[in-house]
Order: sequence, then structure tokens, then C-alpha cells
Amino acid sequence: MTTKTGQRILVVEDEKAIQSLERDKLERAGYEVDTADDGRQAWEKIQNNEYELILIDIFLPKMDGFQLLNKIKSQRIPVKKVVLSSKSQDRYINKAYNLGADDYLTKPFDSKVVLTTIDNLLEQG
Amino acid sequence: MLTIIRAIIIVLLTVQIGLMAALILYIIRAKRAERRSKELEARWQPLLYEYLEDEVDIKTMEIELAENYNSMWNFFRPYLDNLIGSDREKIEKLLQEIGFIAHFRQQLNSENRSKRIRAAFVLGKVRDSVSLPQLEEMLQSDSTYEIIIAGQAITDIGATELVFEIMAAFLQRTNITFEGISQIIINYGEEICPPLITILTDWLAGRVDLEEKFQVPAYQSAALFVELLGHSRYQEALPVFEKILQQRENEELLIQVLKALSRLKEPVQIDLKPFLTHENRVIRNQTLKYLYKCCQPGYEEQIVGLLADENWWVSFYAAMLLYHNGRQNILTEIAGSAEQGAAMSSYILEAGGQFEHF
Repeated sequence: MTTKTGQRILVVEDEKAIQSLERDKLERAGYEVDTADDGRQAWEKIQNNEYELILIDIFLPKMDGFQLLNKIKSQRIPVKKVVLSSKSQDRYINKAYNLGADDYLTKPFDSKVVLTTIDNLLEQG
Repeated sequence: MLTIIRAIIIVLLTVQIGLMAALILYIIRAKRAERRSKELEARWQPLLYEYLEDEVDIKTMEIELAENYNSMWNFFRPYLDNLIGSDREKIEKLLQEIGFIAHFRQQLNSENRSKRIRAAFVLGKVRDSVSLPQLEEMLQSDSTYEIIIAGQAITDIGATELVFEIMAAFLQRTNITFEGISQIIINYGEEICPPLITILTDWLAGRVDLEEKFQVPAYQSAALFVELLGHSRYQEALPVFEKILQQRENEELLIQVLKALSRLKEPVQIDLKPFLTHENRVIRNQTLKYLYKCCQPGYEEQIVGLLADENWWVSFYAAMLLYHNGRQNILTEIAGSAEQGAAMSSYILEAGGQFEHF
């Protein structure tokens, strides 16, 4: 296993099975992983912890992924953001980038692609 | 009299108690099933992840999963819905090897309709091409739901050669809307576009009779193909769209073409004046919307004229188009006059041409 000491990722995903799979893949890749089931829980965690990257689903209960991105942007929190969403229309993608997303991946997804994207973004620093 | 009232009260109480008991039983069973499902999930999940990383083999998985096909479906479904790539291939291989797919293939022949429908849905999700002949047969069912699920399963499997059979079944034997059909057919992805262009081209050249093929008025099936091409933002459809606009035979079809063009955001090489002055307000509106989306210049005289259109939306899009073409001066001039488009011009100027969801 590669060690990525101190690199913490927050996975924000309401589908438990997928959240669990993402966590497993990222932990196997050597990352420290935290999870949140909804946008509000994610926002609380972001305020109280330091993450290098957040993997965000768009359609979340309580606070959606766009609202979460907006909060992160308005508070100028220095963290990489990768959106993983089932919506592939331009308007969703553009909105996510306008709200500061560093990358936008669509579901269904290939875990290897997600991992490579995260590795690359974190290597860029 | 008192005895009758007593009897009625007793009957009502008995029914009430019976209903309460049934409800409690139902809740207990549901909770038990949920607990069982969570237990299985907790056991299967780490094992699945190990299998995906090649740390355990299929035999180990088979022993653990132990022909529990219905629970397996609940467990695997989110992964099948959300994954592509090697993980998904491994899951499909696993389901093949442990008899899960064979079980649902058998269910596809069941006398019980709900079992058949469930099997069709599952087999679509695991992309089982062996089931295609039976799924094709299901398209001839007398049940709308069975037809829809069979069609969806075929698109999930990716059998593009059956696209027109699915559409014919949907159009002739179900009440499913255009949007509903599109949502299912786009499951195929972009591979579906070339056959759609071919059939539209053949229809426009008189080589195919769409009415005979689909048993609905030709414009309906043609409009559906156009909607699908637009949905896929398939640029190669542009010449076919231009040809339909030139022929101007059916308003419904023209509307679909203009909507599709708005999604393509590509300029067309034909004169759009007849559509800007068309008697159908939806056509005028869609043409303005298209010009706005693809940023195609020109037609200023017609657009200014449409500021005074009787339809609010036509007037709105005309003003928006002028604003975003940098012609605020025209809007300012009209806003300060007594002309019919004055109110809309002021409205757009005050909003600075910015509207949410626009």
C-alpha cells in the first residue's frame, strides 16, 4: 500500500454502498478518509477538520453539493474539490466549476479514474 | 336496537384490532427483513471489496453468498447502478459464476408477471445478452409495464439493433410520453445516433415509410428521433435538421428540430426568417431561443419586431437576444418610447439581462 501520510479526504455521498466502496478504495490507496452522509454534516466536518480534498456528490439531503461548494468558496477554504455526480448536462458541470470544483466526474464511474484524478490533483498541491 | 348497536361496535372493534395486528405484524416483518439485510451487507461488503482487489476468489464468494439471490440483488444493485470499468466487470463475472444470472434467466420464463418483470430488470442491469430473445418477446406483452421494463433492459444491455423494435412497441402499445421514451433510449449512449440519422435521411428521401413501420403518424416517430439526437447533442445530425426545416411540413416536428438545435448550439445554413414570423408562437419562441443559445447574429429587424409580440415569452426572448447581442441601445430607445415592446425592454434592461435558470 502506498502511504500518503496526512492526506485527508472527505467523501460526501448519501448512497451508503458507494460511500463505503469509495472509502475502501481510498484507504487502500493510502489516504485517510472521513465520510459524510449529507451536505450539512459535511459542512460541519469541513469547519472542524482539515482536508486536502473533498469528493462531493451533487444530490445530497439537507444541503446539496452546489450549496456545499458555494459555502466552501465563500469561506475561501483551501481544499481541492472533486464532484462525482449522475448529472452529465453542461449546466450542472458549468455550475460546479463556477463554484470552484477542481474536477467533475460522472456516474456511473470507474474507481480507477476517480483515484487517478484524486492522485493527480493532490500531487499538483 | 341496543343489541344491534352493541353488535356493530363489537364488529368495528374487532376489525380495528385485526387491522392493528396486521400492521404490527407487517412492521415486525419489515424490521426483521431490514435487520437481516443489514447483517448480510455487513458480512458481504468487506468480502466484496477483497474480491475486487483479487484478495479472495469466486469460490469463497460463492460459499458466502449461498444462493441467496434476492438479498444478493439488493446488495449488488447500487454497485451495478454506479460502477463501470474493471470493478463492474468483476461483479458481473461473479454473478455469472455463482448462478445469480441463471436464476433470473429462469425467472424470465415464470408464469408470474411480477417475477418476469423483476427478472427482466435485473438481467438488464447485469447486461445479460443471452436474455435478449426473451426480452424482445416481452415487447409484445399486453402489459405496459412489462414492455417498458423489457425495453429498458434491452437498452441497458446495449443491443442497438433492437432500437426500432423498442420504439415501435413504446409508440404503439404504451402511453409513455416522448420524454419517457427518450429517457429510456438514451441509455444506449451515442451509438444510437447513426441509425437514427440513417432512418431520418431515408424517410426524407422517401425510401422509408415511417407511418407503416411504426404505425403512428410519421411526424411523431420523426420528432422522437430528432429529440433523441438533440438530447445526445449529436453534431452530425445538423444536415438532417436543416433538411427538415427546409421542408417545413409539420409544426410539431419543426418545434422538435428547433429544440434540438438549441442543444447543439451550432449555426444552421438556412434562412430562419420564416420561423421568426411563423404563425405558431412556439415556433417563433423556439427560433429565438435557438438564436440565443447558438449566438447566431443577424435577423435584427425581425427580432426587434418580436419585442411587440402578443406572446410574453416570445417578447422576452426577443429582448434577451437583443441584450446579449450587445444591442442594449435598441432596448433603451424602445423602453423610452410608447411602442408596444417598451415594458419588456425596460424589464430586461433593469434585470441586466440576467435571469436565474436562463
